[in-house]
Amino acid sequence: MNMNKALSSHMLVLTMASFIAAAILFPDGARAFCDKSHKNSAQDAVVYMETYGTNQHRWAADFLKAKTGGRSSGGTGFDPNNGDGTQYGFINVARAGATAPDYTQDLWWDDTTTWGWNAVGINFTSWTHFMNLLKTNDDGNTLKYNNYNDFDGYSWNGCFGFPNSGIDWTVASYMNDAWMTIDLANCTDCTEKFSFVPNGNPAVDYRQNGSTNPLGAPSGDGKKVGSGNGTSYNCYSDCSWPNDCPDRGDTLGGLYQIPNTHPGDDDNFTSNQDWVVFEPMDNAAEFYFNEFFLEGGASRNSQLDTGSVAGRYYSIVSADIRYLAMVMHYAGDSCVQHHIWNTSGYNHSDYENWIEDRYGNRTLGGSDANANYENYATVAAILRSRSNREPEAAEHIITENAFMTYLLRYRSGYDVLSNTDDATRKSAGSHAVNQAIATIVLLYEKGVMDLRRYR
Amino acid sequence: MKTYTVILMLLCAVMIGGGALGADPDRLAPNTIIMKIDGKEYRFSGTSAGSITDLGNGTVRLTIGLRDNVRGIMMRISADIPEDRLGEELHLAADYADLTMIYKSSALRFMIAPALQMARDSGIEYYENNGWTAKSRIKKHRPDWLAMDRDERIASGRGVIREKSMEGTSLFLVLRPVADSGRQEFRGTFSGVARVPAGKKGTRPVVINGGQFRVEVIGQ
Repeated sequence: MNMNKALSSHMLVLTMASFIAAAILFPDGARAFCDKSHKNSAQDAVVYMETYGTNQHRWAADFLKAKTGGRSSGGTGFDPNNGDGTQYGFINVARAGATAPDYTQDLWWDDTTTWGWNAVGINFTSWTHFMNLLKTNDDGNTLKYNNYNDFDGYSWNGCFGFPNSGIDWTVASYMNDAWMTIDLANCTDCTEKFSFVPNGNPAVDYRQNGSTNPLGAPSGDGKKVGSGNGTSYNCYSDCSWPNDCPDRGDTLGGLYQIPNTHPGDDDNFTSNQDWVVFEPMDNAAEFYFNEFFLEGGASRNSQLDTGSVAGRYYSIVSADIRYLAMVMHYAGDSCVQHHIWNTSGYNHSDYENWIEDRYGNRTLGGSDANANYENYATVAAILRSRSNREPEAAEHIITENAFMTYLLRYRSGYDVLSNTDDATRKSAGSHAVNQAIATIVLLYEKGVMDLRRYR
Repeated sequence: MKTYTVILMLLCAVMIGGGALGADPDRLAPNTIIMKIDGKEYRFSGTSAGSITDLGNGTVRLTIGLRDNVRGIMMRISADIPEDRLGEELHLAADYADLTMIYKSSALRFMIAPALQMARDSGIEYYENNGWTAKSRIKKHRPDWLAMDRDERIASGRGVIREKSMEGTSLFLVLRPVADSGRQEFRGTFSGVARVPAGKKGTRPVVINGGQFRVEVIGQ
């Protein structure tokens, strides 16, 4: 246990105002791809389904339009229960959902001086928007990507730049021995908490696909943090003095890569012995897809219960379609190299903002070569190349997509981790946009077909 | 133009680093850090330390850490340097060195990291298909920027890592390792400029000046 944490409750009132201010700062930096690019790719996917897709695509699009009040019914929101009962239409639900996961306030972290869901321009929820396919770091040293999942999510010790200086290190140093709320629903100190699902709690909710991420029992009075020895969320990083996280892991190739193997055995003089491993983006996507879109929140037991889906083909309403729309955010992020090469740095935010300035401002149906990156012939080609089609699990579709993104960096002229020139960014950005559109088409098709399959 | 920029930066470093607090870390009591941040003077005694971490790749990380639980303030400055420079007096700027700073208090929090870094040679090879029509030929090649110097990389955007959120920030560190009665200390000065929120989408500079430290290196 870390006695320093006792201080933090007294700091709550003082820090909250600053957190709100921090949320205003660098808003794009925390919203991957970014906002309008996510929305546009979702809308382009709908257009593709309507005009270029297969009969099944057109039928799936029509089904979704029928359930959301038409194609586009005015307004920009996607929650028909927001007071006026308006059905906003499929386009608006798709656009709003594609960016919604960036607006949750659901990962609350606590350390000596700060407490909240964001700081220094980072909405902490974005750490659940990664999938780690790395086998080595930037130095060529071995990284372990599968501690708790087939592919883990973000972690400082598992990121591309580890252990060198850069934004990942600076953030790890900033967070250091902080711990996270693991029972958000009962966190009374989480005064600004916000999730799109009732009683949202990412630490548990995103524990999908057989994740073995150790949680322990919540503690810390109203904060409900995961502070138990040997658990994942008891330490963001243990990277420099005072290195007082609770646990010690094991090394692989000279780097600490296997976490929590020696609970309570951390020493204060060795760095990087303990660290959090976040759930990967496909786990978050699977949560919204299975537990809320398909099942309507009926089981919430980290697996698909087809019995809960029965009848929803007929009864599903617009409010449930938004959870399918939210899955598309992760589809989009899985097309960004940095989200798969597991880094907040290496030109991450600059690249996403570069795409946002162009594709994010594209005119629908336009032909501006510097903005209209959507190319439906390319989308069709990407769709034909997929091994995982709509009957496969959503996590497999996203994982295959992530593999394509990982490999893209090796293609000559597409490496946006090391290069900032326009030619490289345009090649990679155009590819990412069409890959995102294709994956969104596939997941929308899958959503409707699953409802029908289990009806 | 580049020369003027460097001179201006060094001039700023001297002006900021001097400050009202003077600049003589040798006169500080052990494990003391003093500094002026955003116009407010601070002195911390007994709540700080230095550390040396071997990153295992020919680089060592030197850290000056501060944690005052009573006042709820945490600060950390780190510098990654080649291990063969360990023991030297260092004069580092975040524009040219892997130098970072974090600061957290109830009233103020910020990070400073390099806005520009050179990409490392991680051994990557890119593939290219040069034979679409007749026989497919996959060729591999190494990054072109490996043959470029720093200025060429910056001008071309090849082999560089940029962090625009850190533009407008700066950090300067002078660090002198001192052996004192068989114990190693870090003594030195620091200064810089961070940026913090100021209204909608805006930021304002926070000046760090007069920073001095004398800290014992722990874990020796």
